[in-house]
Amino acid sequence: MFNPKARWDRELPQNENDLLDERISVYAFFDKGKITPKHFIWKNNTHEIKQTTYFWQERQGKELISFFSVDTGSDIYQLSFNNTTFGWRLDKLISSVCDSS
Amino acid sequence: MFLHIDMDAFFASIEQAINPYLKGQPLIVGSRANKYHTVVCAASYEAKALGIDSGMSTREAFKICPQARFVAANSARYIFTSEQILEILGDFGPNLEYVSVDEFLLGFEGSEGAVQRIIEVSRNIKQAIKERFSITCSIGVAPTRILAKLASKLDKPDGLMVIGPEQIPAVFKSLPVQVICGIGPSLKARLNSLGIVTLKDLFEAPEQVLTSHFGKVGGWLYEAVRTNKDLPVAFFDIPEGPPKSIGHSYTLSRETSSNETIFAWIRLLSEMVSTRLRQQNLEAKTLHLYLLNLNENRGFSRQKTFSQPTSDGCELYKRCRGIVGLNKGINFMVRAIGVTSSNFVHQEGLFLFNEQAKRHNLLKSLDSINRKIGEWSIFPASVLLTSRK
Repeated sequence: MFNPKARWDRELPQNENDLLDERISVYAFFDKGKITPKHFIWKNNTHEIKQTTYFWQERQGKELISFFSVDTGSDIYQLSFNNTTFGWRLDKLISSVCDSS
Repeated sequence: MFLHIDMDAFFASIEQAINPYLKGQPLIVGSRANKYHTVVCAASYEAKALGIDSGMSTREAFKICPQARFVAANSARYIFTSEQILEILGDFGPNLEYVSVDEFLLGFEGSEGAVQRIIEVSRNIKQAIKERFSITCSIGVAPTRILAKLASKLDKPDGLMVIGPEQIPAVFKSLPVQVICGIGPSLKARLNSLGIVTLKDLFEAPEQVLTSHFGKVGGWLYEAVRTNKDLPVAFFDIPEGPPKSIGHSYTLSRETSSNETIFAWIRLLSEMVSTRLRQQNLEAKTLHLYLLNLNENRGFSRQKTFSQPTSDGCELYKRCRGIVGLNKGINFMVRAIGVTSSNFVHQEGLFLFNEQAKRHNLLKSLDSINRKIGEWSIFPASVLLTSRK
C-alpha cells in the first residue's frame, strides 16, 4: 500500500524475503487499554511470544495501527493490529538467530 | 533552573530496543531502505566510535565498517516514541518544551536551592524512560536553556551533568566556544581570530567588541554565557518574522531520466511546499527548480518570478513545468530534485474570479481533511508515480 506519510521510505527492504505481510491469528490480552500479544499462529505453527521488545502506533489515513516487535526466542517479528478492522498481520521478520550472530 | 533531556543516539537506540541482537554492535540507520544508496540518518555509539556519523553516505560508512548492521529509518516509530516521552515528562513539571524529536526541556521555579530536588527528578525521568522504552537519555541541569543543553552533551551516554553557578568557571575554562549550540565552524573561526577560544574567553569579552564584530549575533553570544537572561537555545531559534523561502528537495536512490518519475517528484515536492505555504497563510511569487546529476556535476537550476502569487500545489507544479520549458522534457540523468518558493505575500482571501474562490475553498477542504484524518490522507494521484522503480 502506498503510504504517503513514509514518503521518504518507499524502497523495499534489501531482503524481500523478510517481508511477510500475511493475515494471522494472534492470542492477545487486552487490558486497561494495553494490548499484549501472547502467541500467534503462522503456517499452522504456534509461535510463543517470549517478549514484546517494542510497541508503537501509526495513523494511516483514518486507521490507527498498533505495531509490536516480538521475540519468539529464535526470531524477532513485527506484528500489527489494525484498531479499526481488529485484524492482525504478520508484517515482517525483523531478525533471525541465524543472521544475528 | 532548566533541565535539558537529550536522548542518546535516539533512532539507533530504538532500533536496538526493537531488535536486541543489534545491541553493542555498530549500527547504521539509513534514511531509506536502500542500503548502499542512502545516507546515514543515525548511528549507534559503537558506529560513532569508528567515525560513522549522521549525514555520511552509507557507501562511505560501510567502507569504514563493512560488518556494520543496517536498518532503514522508520519515522513513525521515532515520532510515536518522542510523543510518548513528552507525555511522561508532563508528569514531572508543567513548564515543558518540545525542543526537537529527541530533545526536551523542563523549566523549574526556584534557583540553586532546588538543585538537589531537580537532580532527583532527573534520576526519576531517566528511570521512567529506560523502564518504558529500554533506551537511555542524558540530562543537563543549569540556570539557562543554553547551558542546560550544553550540560546534556558533556556526559553522554546515560549521563547527568549539573552546571550550577559554582561549576561555571571550571566548565568555561575547559571548553571551546563551539560547544555552544549555534556556534558553527565559521563563527568559531571568526571568534578564534579575535583570541576568543574558550567559553571563559567569550565570557570575558566586552559586549561592545562582540556586537561590533558580529552585530545581533554578538549580542546573543554575550548573553549566551551569562545566567541572568533566559535566551532560546540557539540564536537561530529567535523568531524573526515570516520565512524568506520555503522549499523541499529529494535525492533519488538512483539516477533516472524517466520524465514520468521526475515530474511525479516535482509534483510531490510542489504539494509539500504549497501545504507549508498555506499553513503560514502565504503565497509565493517566485519559484526555483533544480534538477541535478550529482555524478557528472551537471544540472538544471532556474527560477522565475510570476505576477500572480500562489499557494496551490498544482499551480506550483505547472509553473515548474513552465520553468523547464513548455512541452519540453528532461534529457539527462537526474538524481536530486528541489522546489523552493520565495517572494511571499500574505494570502488575503480576496478573489477577482469565482473560479479562484472555488479553488481556494477546495484547497482549504483538502487541508482540513488532512488535518483531521492524518497528513497525506488525500493527495494528487500523480504523486503515486513516485513509488515506481
